[in-house]
Amino acid sequence: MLVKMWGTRGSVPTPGAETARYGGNTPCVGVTAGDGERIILDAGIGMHWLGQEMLTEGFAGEAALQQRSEAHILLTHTHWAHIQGIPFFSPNLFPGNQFYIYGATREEGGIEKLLFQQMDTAYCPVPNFFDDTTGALTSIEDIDDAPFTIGQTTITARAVNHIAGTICLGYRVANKNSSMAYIPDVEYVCESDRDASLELAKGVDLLIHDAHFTAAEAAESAGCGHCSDADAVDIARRAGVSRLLLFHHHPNRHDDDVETVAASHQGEDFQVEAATERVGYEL
Amino acid sequence: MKIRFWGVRGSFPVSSPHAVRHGGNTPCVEVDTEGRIILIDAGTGIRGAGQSLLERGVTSIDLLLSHAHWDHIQGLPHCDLLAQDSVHLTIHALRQDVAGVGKICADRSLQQLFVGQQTAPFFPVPLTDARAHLEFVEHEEGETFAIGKAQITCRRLNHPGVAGGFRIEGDSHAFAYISDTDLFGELLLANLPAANDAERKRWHGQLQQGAHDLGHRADLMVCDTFFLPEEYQEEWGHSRPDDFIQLANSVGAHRLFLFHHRPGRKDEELDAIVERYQGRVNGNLEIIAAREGQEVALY
Repeated sequence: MLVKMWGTRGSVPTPGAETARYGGNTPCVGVTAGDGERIILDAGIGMHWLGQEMLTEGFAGEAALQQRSEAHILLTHTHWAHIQGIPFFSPNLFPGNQFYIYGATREEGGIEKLLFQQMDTAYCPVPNFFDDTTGALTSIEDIDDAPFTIGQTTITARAVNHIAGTICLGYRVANKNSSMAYIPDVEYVCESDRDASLELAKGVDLLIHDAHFTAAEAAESAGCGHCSDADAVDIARRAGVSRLLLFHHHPNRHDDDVETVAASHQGEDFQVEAATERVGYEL
Repeated sequence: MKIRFWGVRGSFPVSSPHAVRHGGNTPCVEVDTEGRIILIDAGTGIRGAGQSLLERGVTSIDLLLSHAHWDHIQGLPHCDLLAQDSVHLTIHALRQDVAGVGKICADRSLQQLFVGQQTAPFFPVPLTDARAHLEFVEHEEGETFAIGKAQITCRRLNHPGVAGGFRIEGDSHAFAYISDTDLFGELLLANLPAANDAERKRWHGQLQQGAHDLGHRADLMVCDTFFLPEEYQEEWGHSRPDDFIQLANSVGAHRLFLFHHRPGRKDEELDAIVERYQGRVNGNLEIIAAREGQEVALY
C-alpha cells in the first residue's frame, strides 16, 4: 500500500514561503492498494494536484476509456476544506473514468445533495461534474458503520467528535499486508470520545491524525473541533501504531513551528513525523 | 495612493513550489487612498491583509467585491477582522439578485451569499457570530459612490453570473480593477435573455463602454490575464494579455498588472509572459506580473 500526502493543512489553504515545506493545501491523501485500487481520503484542494498526477496515469483521454479507470473517494465530512478540491479535480472531465464517493451526513438528501450545493452556479463557475453528461461517471453513497471492501482492501468508518451537529468520520483502510488510519478532524472532550479513534488505529502501520492545536492552544479552544499533537501521540501510543503523521496543520503554523512540534515527540516507541505534502509512504 | 497585492492567483489557492514567488493566494488587493483603506475581493489573500490591518490599527474598512465565486469570497470566514468588536467592515458589490435566467443562478442578495458560505454542514461558524460590525451595500451598474474623499465607480463585466469591476479615484490618481472578465468574448451575463438580439447588442455595447470608463487614463490597471492566446476558452469569462493591451492602449492607461494567474502557471512562465508582451507594446505602457506582497506607490 502506497500512501501519499497531497494536502496536509487544516481549515483553509495557506500558500506562501512559510508553509512551502510541509504544505498549504487542504486535506487530501492518495492511497494505492497492493492490488492497484485507488482510494482518496478527503477532497481538499490538494486533490487538484493528485488529479494532475492521475492524468498521467491512465485517467485522461483514450486511456481512461480503454482502462475504465476508477477511484474511490472517502470523505470524512463536508466542511469546505475537505470537499473544495472536487470542482478542480481534472479527471472528472474525462469519459471512461468512474468515481465512487462515500460519506455521511444528517442532512436530508444525503452527501449527494451537499456536493451539488458546492457546485451552485452562484458560487461556482465550473461545469457540474455530477451531471454525468459532463465527463466521468460519479456515484455518491451514504455509508454507516458496516465495513465494506474495495478490491482486497477493507474500509471501516467510525463517527468521531468534531463539531456539534455535523457528522465527521475517521477511516481505517486495511488489507492482509498493510493498514492505515485517517483521523484528520477530532476533538476529545471526554475519555469515551477516544474509543472510536483507538478502534480505527489499533495496530496500524500508519496513523494520520489531527494535530491542529498545540496543547496550550487546545486548552483555550474547547468546542473548536480539534485536538493537539499530544492527543495524537496519546492515541498512537495506546493503539500501538508503527508510525504517526501529525496532520491538519493550523493555518497560522509556519514550517519551523511544525518542525519543532514534531521534534518534541522523538523518543516514542514509534516514529512521529509532521505530514509533508508530496511525500509518499510505502507500507 | 498606495496599492498592495495580497492575493493574485485565480480559480483556487495554489500551494506549490512553482508558485511561491508570485504567490498562490486567491484575489485580494489593498488600496490606501485619501486616508481610507479599501480592499478589493476576499480571496484567501484577505487573511494576510486582515492580520496586517489589525497590526496597523485600521478598524474602518471598505471591501469592494467583484463577484461571489468561491475564489473571491473564500478568505473572509478565515479573516481575523471578523473577530474584532472594533472593526467596521462595509462590503460593496453590484446588485447580485438580478433574477438570473438559464443555467446561471443570480437569485440572492450580497448578504445572503456571504451567509450561505458560512452555513452548516459546510462551515463550523455562522457569519452571525462575527464580532465585527458588517454592512452590505449593493450598487447599480454605472453608479459612482464615495468612500471618504475617494470616488468609486462600479461597472458590470463579462463573466458568468453578476461580476463587476471598480475604478477608484483618489489623491489625484486613478486605479482600475478589471477582473474577472472576457473583455471581447461572447456575452456571459446571468440576466441576459438568450433570444433577444437587441438586448444582447445593447449589453455588448454597454460592457465595452464600462471597461473603457473603468480604465480611462488609469495610472494602474489590474487585469484578468488568466489565459494566453493559445489557451483561450470561450465561456470561461477570462481574458488574455492581448485583450488588455488593446484596452490599455485605447484608454491611455499607464501600467498593466497581469493578475488572476492560472493555477498551473509557474513563476518563470510569468517572467516569460511579461518579457513576451513588454517587447510588443510602445514605451508608454508598462507590463508587470502582479506578485503577492508587492507594494506600488503612486505619486
